[in-house]
Amino acid sequence: MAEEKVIETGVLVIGGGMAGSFAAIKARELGCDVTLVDKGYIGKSGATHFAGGDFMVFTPEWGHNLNAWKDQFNTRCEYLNNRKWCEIVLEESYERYQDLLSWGIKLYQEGNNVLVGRAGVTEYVSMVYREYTPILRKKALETGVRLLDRIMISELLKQEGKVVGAVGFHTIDGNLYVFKAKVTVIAAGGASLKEGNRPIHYATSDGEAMAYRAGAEITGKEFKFGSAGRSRAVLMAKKEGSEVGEFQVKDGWARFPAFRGGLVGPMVKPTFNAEGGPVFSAVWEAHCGREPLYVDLDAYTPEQRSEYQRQFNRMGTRELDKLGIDIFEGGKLKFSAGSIETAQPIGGGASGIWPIDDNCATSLPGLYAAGDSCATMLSGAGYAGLGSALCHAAVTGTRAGLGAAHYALKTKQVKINQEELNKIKNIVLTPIQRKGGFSPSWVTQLLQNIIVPYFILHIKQGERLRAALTLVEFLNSHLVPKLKAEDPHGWRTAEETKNMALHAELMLRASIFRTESRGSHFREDYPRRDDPKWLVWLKIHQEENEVKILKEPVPKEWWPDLSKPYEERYPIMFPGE
Amino acid sequence: MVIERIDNDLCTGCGICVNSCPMDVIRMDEESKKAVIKYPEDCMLCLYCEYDCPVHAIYVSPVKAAPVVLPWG
Repeated sequence: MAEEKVIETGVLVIGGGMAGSFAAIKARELGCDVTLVDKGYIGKSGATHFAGGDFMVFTPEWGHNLNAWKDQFNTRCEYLNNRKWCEIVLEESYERYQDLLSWGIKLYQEGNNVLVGRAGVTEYVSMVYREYTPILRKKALETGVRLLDRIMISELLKQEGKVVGAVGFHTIDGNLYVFKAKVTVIAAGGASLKEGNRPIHYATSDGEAMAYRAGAEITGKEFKFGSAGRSRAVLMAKKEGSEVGEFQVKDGWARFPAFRGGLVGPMVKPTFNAEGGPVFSAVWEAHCGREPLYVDLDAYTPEQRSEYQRQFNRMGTRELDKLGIDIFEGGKLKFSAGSIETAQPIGGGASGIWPIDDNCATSLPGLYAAGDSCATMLSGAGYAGLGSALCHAAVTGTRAGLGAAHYALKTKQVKINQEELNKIKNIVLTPIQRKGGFSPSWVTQLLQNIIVPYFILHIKQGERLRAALTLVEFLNSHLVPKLKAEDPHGWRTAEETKNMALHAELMLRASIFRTESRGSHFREDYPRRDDPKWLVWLKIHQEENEVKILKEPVPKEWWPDLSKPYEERYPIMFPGE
Repeated sequence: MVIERIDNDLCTGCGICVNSCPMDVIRMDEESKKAVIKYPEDCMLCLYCEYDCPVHAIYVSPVKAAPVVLPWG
């Protein structure tokens, strides 16, 4: 029989990855009572653990030039990157790196030196894969943070406009949990639709969704991983002609090292299409009916092969071994880009809850956001680069944790209004108490069927977007409220489905609203960047069940030089330009 | 397909795989005190359970739960 447990705490941190761990540890170090809660097992779950470990570090000691790094961000992120946050993240990256080292994190070495990777001008170190998150867990425990695994937070508690806690449930024993907190930090990660290519099915927009339902502002939903302007928009690859015995399957694609999902790694891009022509935009080739795409590994230069080998050796080749594929044997790889990813954000702060100040406070008093849940817009319309996501998580986690701690220290615990609490409890309990209803897996599949084909959110177009939105709105209004959970595990699935349905709707709404193309947002019907009209960020929030979208202008000082020709401002051409 | 097998003879009941799975696919059986595959339909092929099992009792097939149909064939 499920019980109700009530936990009173000073700082509630939702999500136990890089951002949440930093927030919890820093808040605890200021003396607050801190509870860190996660729907999985802290230290082994979530995108932090999956990410691979690249951590961007900026320091003049290593010869880094701040202006060169900032210029790269501005161009790659197509001027929608928040330059204030770029500076903050870069300037605090070294301190966070020192924190990690002092907590015992190990890095990959090259001889006696730390292995430093480079992406353009930016550089990053690499934490030993899958060993760093258990160290974050250990540090949080040692610091005196109360860790609670397997508890999924479903809704925030609000009183007099302030966030005063949250309600969730245990995914194994099904107990209801009421958290009464002076302040809450959402660090619950990013979003996706459990698409087939990456094993990040826990990234279901949980943090952003609960914040949106409580009235917070959400930003960046028109941007996501992959761009129509580049060939990186690949989803799956297969070694052509490979004999793989019992594993030769049509749909069991070689998932090269786990954290790369279905991608073959950044070095391996399709270079020619089915007609033998060159590939600039993989998804455009799909759109024009020129798939499958190929890369000929035999044509790789020795440098390319050795870099490729280095990446694989770092992460292991267990999946390849399973399929009996030796990627280095040469031959052709076949690619497909016809289905897309909806994963967000893509490199730190490209979508999520809008922070209203440098401490990651949101527009809801008592609520802070950090990591992938926090839309600092560090990555703007593009991608801030390898290592930016984990670095952004550590920096925003620290700021949110300290900000939340200061807020908690000057706030009295609020007595929760029982009527409001009961209302929220009923919402949370609905899926597990229903007698009949819809299967969350089925609704997820419907969402995927609508959204995942490339011609909805990758090669966008107004009428197709509106068609998809009509169906997703129906899903949200009619199917989602009737999701049924068979058991506590299914309760988590139902919650994730509810949040993914909102993620899909917000992505469509933002894409419809922005009538231009920029970065990873490409529209066939508006195929050019439109400066200065669209040098804005979109903030979405709900007010009395109505969706409102506001434009937040990018400060003029951050605009590109409008006297320069378009091609100079935007070196990457979109298809059809 | 997906996680297929936890070898009951090799499994020591250490519980590492239960914590390793981000999707709550594996649970400890209360009677046998060993790990069992409870929700294979949620397996996302991350392979953490297989990597982390100290006695190599777990096998994850590379075939996904939902068949993937490619746009070109």
